[in-house]
Amino acid sequence: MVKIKINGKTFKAPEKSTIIQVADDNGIEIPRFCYHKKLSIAANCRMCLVEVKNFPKPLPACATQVNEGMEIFTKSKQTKDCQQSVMEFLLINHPLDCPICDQGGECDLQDTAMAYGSPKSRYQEEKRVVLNKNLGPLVSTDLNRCIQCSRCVRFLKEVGGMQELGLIGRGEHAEISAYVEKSVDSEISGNIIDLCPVGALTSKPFRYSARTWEMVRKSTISPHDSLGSHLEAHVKDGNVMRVLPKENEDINECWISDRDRFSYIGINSEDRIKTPLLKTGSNFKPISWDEAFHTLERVFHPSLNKFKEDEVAIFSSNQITLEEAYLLDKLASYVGTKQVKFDVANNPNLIANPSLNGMIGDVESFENIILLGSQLRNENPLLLQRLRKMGNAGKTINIINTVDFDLQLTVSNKIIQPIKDFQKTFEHIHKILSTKVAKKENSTEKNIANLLSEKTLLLVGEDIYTNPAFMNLTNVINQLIDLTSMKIGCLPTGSNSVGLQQMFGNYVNHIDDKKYQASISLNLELEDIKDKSLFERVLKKSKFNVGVTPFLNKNSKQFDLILPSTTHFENEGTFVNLESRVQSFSQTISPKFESKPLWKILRVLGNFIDCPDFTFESCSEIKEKAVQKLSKNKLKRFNLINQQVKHHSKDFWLKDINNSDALVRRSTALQNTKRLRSEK
Amino acid sequence: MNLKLKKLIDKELKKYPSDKKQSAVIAALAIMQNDRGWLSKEDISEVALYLDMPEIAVLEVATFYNMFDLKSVGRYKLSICTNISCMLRDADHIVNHLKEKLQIDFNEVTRDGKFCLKESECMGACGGAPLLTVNNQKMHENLNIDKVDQLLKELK
Repeated sequence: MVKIKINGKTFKAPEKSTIIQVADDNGIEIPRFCYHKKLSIAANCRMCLVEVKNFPKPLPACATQVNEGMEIFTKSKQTKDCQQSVMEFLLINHPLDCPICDQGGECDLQDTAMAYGSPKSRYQEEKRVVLNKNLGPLVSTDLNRCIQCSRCVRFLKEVGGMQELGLIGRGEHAEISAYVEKSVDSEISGNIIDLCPVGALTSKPFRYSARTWEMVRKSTISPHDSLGSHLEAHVKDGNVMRVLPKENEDINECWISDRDRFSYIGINSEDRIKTPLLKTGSNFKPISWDEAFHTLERVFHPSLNKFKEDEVAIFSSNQITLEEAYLLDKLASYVGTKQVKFDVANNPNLIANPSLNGMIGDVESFENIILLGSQLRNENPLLLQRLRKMGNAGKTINIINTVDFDLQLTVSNKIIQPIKDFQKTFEHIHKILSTKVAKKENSTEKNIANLLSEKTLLLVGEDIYTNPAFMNLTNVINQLIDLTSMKIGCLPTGSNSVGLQQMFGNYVNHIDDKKYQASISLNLELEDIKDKSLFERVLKKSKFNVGVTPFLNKNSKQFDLILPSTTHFENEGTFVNLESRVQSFSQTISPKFESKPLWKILRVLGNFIDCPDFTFESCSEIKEKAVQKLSKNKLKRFNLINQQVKHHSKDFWLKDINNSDALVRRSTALQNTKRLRSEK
Repeated sequence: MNLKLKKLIDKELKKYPSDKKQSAVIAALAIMQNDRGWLSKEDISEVALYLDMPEIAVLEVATFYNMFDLKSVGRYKLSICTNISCMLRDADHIVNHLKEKLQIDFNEVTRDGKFCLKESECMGACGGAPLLTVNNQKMHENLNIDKVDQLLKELK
């Protein structure tokens, strides 16, 4: 620690920290444009110049490290003069178009000009003109407004993993550009909109639709991946206008993926179902909710229609909330079925407690990561971003996978092989370690074996730990854990995968290919399911199919009764993220048309069929009961819970980040982006 | 990129650590430009691929340094200095003469694709002012009208 003085007040600061960091930590304001705490230091905007005693010239606070006894003045005449001059320079080429700029009202340049600029402009000459670039369907450009802070360039290079933007030309002619007519295709590209301190990069879908002060900010949790990113939905007139990240250092830091940011566009899709629909002949007839529940009563009430064991098949999305899962659990056992399926990949549960063992932030404290399987870029882009950070910091990232994905990070060792060979690879690693023969072997396996220690984390992707071939692997991996005390973790993908797993732990979690009396599908579409033909066959054979979904889709015709549920933003509830963190969220907007949140539908259905203990008044009441069912077990070793797996599909299911659920599928902006070419 | 060029770039790469290939980007671009006359987008992409760099990062370098030409500059690029020392030694007179004789302005190429005229900054050889370079390679000092005419005749 060193002692420094800022404006005459003494502060203690960690060594090697910069002036701006110390000022930020202690609530002292220093204006800045190019500095961002998560990005490298550029020191090119010069807005943070401060006077430092005994230095002849002002120093940039973002790039100057503190020294013992340093005296800094953030409000002195020299500092103020610098701020005014820099501001004047920055405004020379900045257009005076705030009234028509989307950033107006939340613009760093506007605020800083007001607070630190000179009230008068002396510039009379012409301003420069920069042609706008088309960066794709998400980010809109107004490059006349750009002040060349280069935050967007550094973000895509350092956090996005691929430099897709650059500052071309120099001096007067410098401008931000992608390479010749290329778009920005990063799966987290939307963050450059937040980073841009001016209105040069703005959200294309949000453009000209609302002003910042007209919107109400509502917090929610991301439904699209298992990270549970904190989001802030901005609402105007009962509509979500845009979604921004809510800073949470432990989970999403200050970023969100494009999928989280732009999925809201799907809420008002033309496919939204307005009222319950009943099949009559080959057409659907709109009916009232009351009629709908009476229809369900006739099918599911035990006094009217007693099912034998496992005559009802239930398919559910892995995005349903904990409350909904709790009600579903009760309903399922009431109608006498264990045939409940959550895992959209249609693989049975094999191991107990597949979750990230520990906290998301802790991943970065390991020295070595071994990524076994996983389509991380399509599944959890923000977790991949953390691995990228580790790779840049010189830690080793090792990959064993069936497909060679382009993860845009520094990989030390890579083994690409079919899943059946994984066992051989791990046995080889085990042999190298256990026999301790100093063989002069020079193989990737040897390299990986040398890394295994308590500072190593083995992360297993969902593709792998749900694949029956993984059963042969658990033994050797457990032996390696004993031998090296390395840590393990799993990477489930659904926003509530862990919650559902913990609540329904003992369910077989698969549907037999047989004739059922009835089926219920919850917030699920054909595209969400790996084994599409099984789903279609079950629905074809079953006598009565209920579909609860916000949207009409290709397989809607197979349903006999369709109930309109809400999208995530109109619902409230609780998710358990991949680190077993329980996070609740409330409604951001009221349900569209006559749609109802799924938990309300299940609750009323329970009452109609006289399911006992079903008198919940609110979601929080259900939550109290539901969280009691969550297990607290940690994943230390891989314990098989399901020895006999009857069927499984062997083929690999390549996921698409922009085709992950019904809402994302209906976000026109996301659908217009280039598909991730993540396969090399 | 042919083998000859690759060999030249490989020679430059040897000067830097093997994981810092991008250090050779200026050299690689210069080699490329010497061979092609100017740098097309394809040339830049090729350099990016060879040095394992994002294309945009190579473009940044190519647009930053004005000795790199991103448009055709004809067979001979005449870069004439108009900075203070050359100006005092009447560079403007030479410039006007060249413009008139070649019938082109700065940054333009003669119709036969032979010459291109560029205005350049100080080359640090003010003792020989006024001066110009041909294709960034050969410098001609202490220019006068006769010398310029002679030079244009020599450049075939």
